[in-house]
Amino acid sequence: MRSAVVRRLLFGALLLAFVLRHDLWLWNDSRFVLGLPVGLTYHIVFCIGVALLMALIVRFAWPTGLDDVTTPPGQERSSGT
Amino acid sequence: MTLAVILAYLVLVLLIGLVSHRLFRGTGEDYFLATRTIPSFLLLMSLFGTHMTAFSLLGASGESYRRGIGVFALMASSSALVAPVVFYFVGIRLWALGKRRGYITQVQYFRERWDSDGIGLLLFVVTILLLVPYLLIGVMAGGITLEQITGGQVPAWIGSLAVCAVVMTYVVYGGLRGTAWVNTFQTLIFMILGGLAFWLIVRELGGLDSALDRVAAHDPQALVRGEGMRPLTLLTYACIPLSVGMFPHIFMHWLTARRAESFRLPIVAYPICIVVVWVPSVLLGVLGRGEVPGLEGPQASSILVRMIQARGITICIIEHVMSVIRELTQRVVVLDWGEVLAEGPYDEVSTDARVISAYLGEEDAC
Repeated sequence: MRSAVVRRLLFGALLLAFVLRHDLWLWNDSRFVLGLPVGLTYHIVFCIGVALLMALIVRFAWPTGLDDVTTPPGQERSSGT
Repeated sequence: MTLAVILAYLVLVLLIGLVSHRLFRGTGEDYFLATRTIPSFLLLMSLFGTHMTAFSLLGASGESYRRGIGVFALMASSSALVAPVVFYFVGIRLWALGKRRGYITQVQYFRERWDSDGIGLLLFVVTILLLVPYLLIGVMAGGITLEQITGGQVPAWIGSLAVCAVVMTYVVYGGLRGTAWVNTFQTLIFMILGGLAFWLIVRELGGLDSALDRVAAHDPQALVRGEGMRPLTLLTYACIPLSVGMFPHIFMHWLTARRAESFRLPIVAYPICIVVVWVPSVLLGVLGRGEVPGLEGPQASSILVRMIQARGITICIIEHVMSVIRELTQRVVVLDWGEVLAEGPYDEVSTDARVISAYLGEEDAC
């Protein structure tokens, strides 16, 4: 039950991230933040935020049972790579 | 020297492909999917390298030269969000399905999913029609870049031929394992050299702060999205990375994963890799507007190469064959009887009446 709520929250955060990507309020903003134009700084921070969100998703909303598959006959594992 | 470095690089890529062949197990699944044994880091690097290609280094700097910093929001942050989401919702499930059903190609999946040979055949034809121009563009871009880097020593068609030969050799010998190894190597080189080029150029420009201050003073439109970009364009560009799984080579890289868990790193690290590669490229493109102004069309895509060349070695050529001068030089000095007759860009100097007169003689000049 709790994990289902967490999943919904995380997927909701993904939708929010999609909305936040469209930073129309910075369209003509020429200020500098952290030494870079704010329109660029915002999107760098956005990308780092997405990485953190994806880290939470793979930690708390990882689909289960995907590795429980039978390897088709004739397919052997290689020790390579 | 440049040519030697390029040759060494191509030989190294070939060697990686040939070494990977030693692990080949002699099965179709091993050739096409490395027997589904690719671990997390190789999966990240091969997916990222395959998806981003040379565009993110050369094309992104050229595009930001034309359109300013907004290119990052337009192209990079959309991929940073959408590509990992597609990996998570589609990639790992297709990997599991592929392993369960023994899929090796994308066509197999679509044919079985809809139980239709017609759909499989249609997809096969469509992907071939889409992939051939896609691959050719890469090969042509490789040739053009080689021509620019070597200052015309290697013509574009020979460069393209060399790229073709190297790629075909390591793909044919190494299969997908060789491809994943080479992709990883190339992506790492890409990141390291991109960072190095950025650091060197910015240092030459007196630091990032002062270089950006100059852009802000003379070309403020480069530092905002402004009227050159529309909000709707930003929205539509978010849809493009949705297609990531429909590239057959990316689909096949998904199938090569050792475990579902192997997707964790690519999903999390993808946005960071995009920042590492795209930010320097976009900034160099913007800084290039001030340093090499006036480039248009395809010329703008060479901005990074031009900036690197600009602070590398200055080459002085003494030559009277005008076609060579036209191809190689950025600045021409014409001497006549030991005195400077004209100086400037080739187009300007070559149409100067005094130069034509001195070069061809009074009668022909008339």
